[in-house]
Amino acid sequence: MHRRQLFTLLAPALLLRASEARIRVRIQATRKGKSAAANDSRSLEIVLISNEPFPIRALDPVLKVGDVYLDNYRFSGEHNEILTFFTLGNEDLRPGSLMVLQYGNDRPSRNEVGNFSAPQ
Amino acid sequence: MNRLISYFFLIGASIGFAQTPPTADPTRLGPLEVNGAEYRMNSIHVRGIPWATDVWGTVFFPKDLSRSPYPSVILLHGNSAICRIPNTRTTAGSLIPPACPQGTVQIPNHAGYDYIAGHLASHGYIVASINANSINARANAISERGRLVQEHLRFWEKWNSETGAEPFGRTFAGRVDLTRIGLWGHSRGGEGVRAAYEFNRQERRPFAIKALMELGPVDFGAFNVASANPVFNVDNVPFSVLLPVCDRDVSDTSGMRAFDRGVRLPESNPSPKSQIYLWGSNHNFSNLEWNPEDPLLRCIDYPVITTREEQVDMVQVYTMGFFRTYLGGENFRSLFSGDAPPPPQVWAQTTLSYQESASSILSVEGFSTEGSPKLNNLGGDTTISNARFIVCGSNCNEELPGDWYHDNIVRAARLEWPVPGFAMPTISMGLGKDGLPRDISTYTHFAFRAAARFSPSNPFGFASQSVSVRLVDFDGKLSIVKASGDAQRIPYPTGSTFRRSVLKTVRVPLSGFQGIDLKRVARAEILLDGQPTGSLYLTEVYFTN
Repeated sequence: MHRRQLFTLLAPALLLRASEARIRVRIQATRKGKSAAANDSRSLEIVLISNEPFPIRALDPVLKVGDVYLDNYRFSGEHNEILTFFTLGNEDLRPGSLMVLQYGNDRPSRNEVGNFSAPQ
Repeated sequence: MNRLISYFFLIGASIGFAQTPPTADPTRLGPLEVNGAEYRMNSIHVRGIPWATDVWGTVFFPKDLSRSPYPSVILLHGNSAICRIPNTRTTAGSLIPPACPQGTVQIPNHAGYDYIAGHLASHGYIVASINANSINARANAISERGRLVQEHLRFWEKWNSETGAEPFGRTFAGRVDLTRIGLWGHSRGGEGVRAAYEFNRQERRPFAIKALMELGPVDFGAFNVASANPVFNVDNVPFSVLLPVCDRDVSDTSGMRAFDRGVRLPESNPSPKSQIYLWGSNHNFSNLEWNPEDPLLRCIDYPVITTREEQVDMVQVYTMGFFRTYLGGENFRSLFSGDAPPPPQVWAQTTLSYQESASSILSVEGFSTEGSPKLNNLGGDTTISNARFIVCGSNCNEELPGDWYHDNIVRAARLEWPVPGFAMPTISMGLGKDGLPRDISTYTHFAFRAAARFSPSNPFGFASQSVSVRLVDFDGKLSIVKASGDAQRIPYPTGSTFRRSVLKTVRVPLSGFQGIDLKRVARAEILLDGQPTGSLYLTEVYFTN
């Protein structure tokens, strides 16, 4: 059983949506078979769970963790309210780094979703 | 002395198109009755796509195919939700694309362009709109979109063969003119058809893609925050890109970069390029199956187009005008060149860029030669007087909320005036080495690209700046034309959430320059005389037809 990190925060209005979206973040070790690219035992899933659907846009969602950009993602959930980013395991993800969700270079869509903390 | 001419005493011919009749409406229903059909092959292997993919589309075509073969057009939608609750617009989560959870159905994203496909078919085209749900909701996947288009073309080749193929049998046998293929893509579909064009010309036996148009495309190849695909270009093919000014999805309107590169690449098949920056329009309205990306629908300074029908009418004008011109051989060119106003359903303001091929213009200045900004493309000298300026490229952008998203290939002079003394800001370009003259009588227009900066120096307004052009012949005689017509004025930057400086083409007919010898012109000069203060980007100065 992996220990999971779970926290909730209020995010600013989500890109195209008028109302406020609440996003929870869960960070866990990648489960076997979830990501073909993840072949390192240190690979992680950073799971964003929103109370509103994540829009599927022309621009890709990108999660910036400190200076590292993550763009290997998958939508899931009944209405695409779960957005999971997969790491390869070799990224330099530093504990305490701010995690920012943004669509492409669309700066108004920027959402600070918390600080990174590796699962223990 | 000339530089001291007061703004108030500068006189010259004024060129606009006040008396020019509008371009004919290309959207009127054609004379042919139209049929529609669907084809679908689920979960097949498509070359270049590493997952099983549906080959699914609808085709509109003239009911009577006896006068065929007809040119063919393929339409490709962009990235969007895959599933929805039946009979609603409520989207639902997808499983592994394109599977949908129980109780939901796939969104027919390709059906959102029936308004283009049906109307084009009535003029004698076979138009397939293809579904890319198998590729949606995945990171990037631009190359896969291109591969999907190629696969559809391979199927059309089979259906067009003497024996035909299922599901159409011999319906299309010999009916499709595969020597005249047009591609059109929206959003990621825009760069997707560009990818298809690029992949196609790498094939040993390429299809004859003769026209390429994009609507609100991405350009992940040139710039993406994270993963990128190869850069796909549009040289050697007639190309047009329509950019929604109030696009809140592709908020950098990055399709302008495809145009930027397209007009600079040398071509063995000289082909015109155009860009329509359509004010008030948004990203999603143009696909009838998509929800508006912004329920609040807002633009800066300009009335947003609030009804889908109005926007669709305008998109239809440019799309049909493009294919009827560059595939069908009709003439709606002035829609793209701006030499005549558009038909009345295009009530929104447009900012146009248009250029004949880089291989068929006489390029004077692009601020990109080694000697720039003092030495221009013709080996003549360029002087900029009575204005502060820098030459910039990727660093053109400077202050928010104004923004510059042009391709890094673009270099421009960033000008600001007045300077002390209030003399006329002038960009003066010699047309030959050592002051020698040049014969420009074989050209019809002088042209350049310019954009207003987001700067307090610029007066606010939809048409905030204009210039005059002065030609000086070898005997010192000069002629001035004011470029202040509706299509020539340079608007204050606008956008959806921030203001973009988007270059437009200003075209000045050479017929307006009287009393000088066009066979021996020594200098071309741009006089920034529209307003006593201002700030502009200026680049790509050339003579053209």
